[in-house]
Amino acid sequence: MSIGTGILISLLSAAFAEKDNFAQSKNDPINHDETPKHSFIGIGIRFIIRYVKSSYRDDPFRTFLELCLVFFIVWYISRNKYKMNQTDIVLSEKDIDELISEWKPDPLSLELTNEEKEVLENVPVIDGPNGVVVNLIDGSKVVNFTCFDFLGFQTNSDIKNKAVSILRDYGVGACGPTGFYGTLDVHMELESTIKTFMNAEGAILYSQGMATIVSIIPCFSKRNDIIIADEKCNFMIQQGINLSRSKVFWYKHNDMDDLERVMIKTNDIVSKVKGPLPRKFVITEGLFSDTGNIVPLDTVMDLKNKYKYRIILDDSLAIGTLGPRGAGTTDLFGISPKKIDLLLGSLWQVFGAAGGFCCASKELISHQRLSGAGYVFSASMPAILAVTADDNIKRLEIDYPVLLPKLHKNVSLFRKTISRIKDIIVEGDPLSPIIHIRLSNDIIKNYIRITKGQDVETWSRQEENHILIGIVSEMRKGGVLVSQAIYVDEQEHSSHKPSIKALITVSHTTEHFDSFCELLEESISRFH
Amino acid sequence: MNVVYQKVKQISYGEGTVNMNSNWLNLRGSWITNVLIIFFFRFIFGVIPFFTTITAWTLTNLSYCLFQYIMLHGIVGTPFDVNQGEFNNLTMWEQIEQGDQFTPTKKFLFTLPIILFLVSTHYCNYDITSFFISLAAVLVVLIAKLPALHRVRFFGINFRYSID
Repeated sequence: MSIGTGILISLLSAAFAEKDNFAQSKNDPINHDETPKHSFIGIGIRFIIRYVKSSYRDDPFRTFLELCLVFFIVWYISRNKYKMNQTDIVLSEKDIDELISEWKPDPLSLELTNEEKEVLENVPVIDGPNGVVVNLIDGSKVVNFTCFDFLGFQTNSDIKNKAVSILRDYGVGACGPTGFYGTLDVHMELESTIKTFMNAEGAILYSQGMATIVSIIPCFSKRNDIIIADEKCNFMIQQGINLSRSKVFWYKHNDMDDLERVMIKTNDIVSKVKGPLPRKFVITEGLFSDTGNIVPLDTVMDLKNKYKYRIILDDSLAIGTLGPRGAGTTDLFGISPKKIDLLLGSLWQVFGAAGGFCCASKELISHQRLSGAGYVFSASMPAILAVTADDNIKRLEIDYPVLLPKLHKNVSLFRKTISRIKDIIVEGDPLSPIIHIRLSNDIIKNYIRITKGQDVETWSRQEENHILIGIVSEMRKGGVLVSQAIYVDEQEHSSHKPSIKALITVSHTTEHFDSFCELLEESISRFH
Repeated sequence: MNVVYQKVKQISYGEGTVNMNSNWLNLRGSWITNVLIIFFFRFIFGVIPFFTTITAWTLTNLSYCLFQYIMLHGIVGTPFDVNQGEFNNLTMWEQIEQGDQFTPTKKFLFTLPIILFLVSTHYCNYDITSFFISLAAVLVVLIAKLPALHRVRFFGINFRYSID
């Protein structure tokens, strides 16, 4: 036994010292008995022998337990380090060669399908400035229903002249990220203009429109946090949610009962969580770009307060088009923007510049300045765009009694004109300047019967899209530029019904609407 | 849901993550501190009047086991935000070296309570009551350290509901 214990002790010292003599002492235990009496191991062995002798005391059971513990130590110490959940597979050289020779790389992108080719071929190119009436590259003159310039700021000559003078003063680019000598006086002025216009506590400017929401969601919502989002939120919001790695629950589009149901369900889950509480967000759009509906913000706010959520409102399309002052959904429902935790807007749509902004409390703004990826890492907005946006917001602040009623008059006029066409479904809120037009099922069935010569009850999205592409290109030949709504289908959360998307601006006239309806009616009438 | 046996889900394989919460345990200074703590306990219980040697050694053993249990197996999560909450549902023992088993630190922390137990029972003159009390304490601490029980929760102890 004494030899055994000696081995244990030498093993112990070897394992702790992690020296090379580990193997030697293990293979050659007799050496230790022969070592000089004054050596460390010799003393250790004699100590152990004395210990075991004195501790035995006619109690074999207890001695056995103690020895078990000692062996436990030896077992634990002699094991090699390994990683948990290791999935590495050891392959021989031959296996590796075989695998490499068998491997055929996939192409980076698949060959385009017919439908994708059709979409690509039908992209119109505008020759000259964008506006209500534009020249296409093929020389034809068309009425544009695809421009986000709802209030006609883009073609305003005053703004153009101001922009030219700014260009002479400031040059073209800002040439630096915001935190790295890219922030100019005009950016700060624009932020304060936005703050005053939106009636918010603070505002932050993003130089890229799409990056605004994509960077704000991951900036505040992390893994183990909870997001409840409308299932028809636009693609940018979905990307932001994906990047945040939060747990996401979807509720039915604009269905407040469903939102309440999801909130109750989520709060149940949260009540089970011990430790740090997750942050909970509701994310919705103000005016949905994919459906043209307006969110019932008052109900959402009630529910959010009742179930203790924070709200992120993407008001990109609504700011400048909705509300008595044109300040978006909050203005429309008479809710103070200070009550919205994160209120987003864009400057590239209504305000004819580029980028976006976020209104929030001062703390949230400061947090974004330090850790909003889109703010920190992209070059700041060119001065010319910042000044243009600033001017356009100030113009809206003065001209809203003229511009907004005119826009809404145009929208209702368009809806009235188009309502005379049978066999189409016009979606969206009566106030929305974004109008999605879908074909009725009868028309699609008729079309398939005419082209394929057979009656069908169901059809694919591709087929429906194909019909719309045909209608759109026919209308373009007739002098009206519209577009079918284009989605990245395989990446969207919920599938959208194919539709034609028409954007109504203040600059459109009754004649434009009439020609739109005539052309649409004409291209549909072939399917009867 | 099985209440007796639950397993904490692996969220992601945090290769290269620096976990400030458990890194310091790998320092030799912290190893020495462990030994010093034992001496400190022994000293405190030794100077209290009316405590016999047996009581003092048993209490030292129990205190150290309790100390290890609280530090390594009792407190869940990290005070820092490490890799978006990768370690939020794990005890300190499970956080050491990102869950690698049989690392030097783990070997040290595994061996120390056993040695303390052997020494203390020796100085207790193998008093049977004290022996079994100490043995129970040591076994609890050792079983919690076994690789087979990595991320395993019994009776919902330390179990945290994960949103993921």
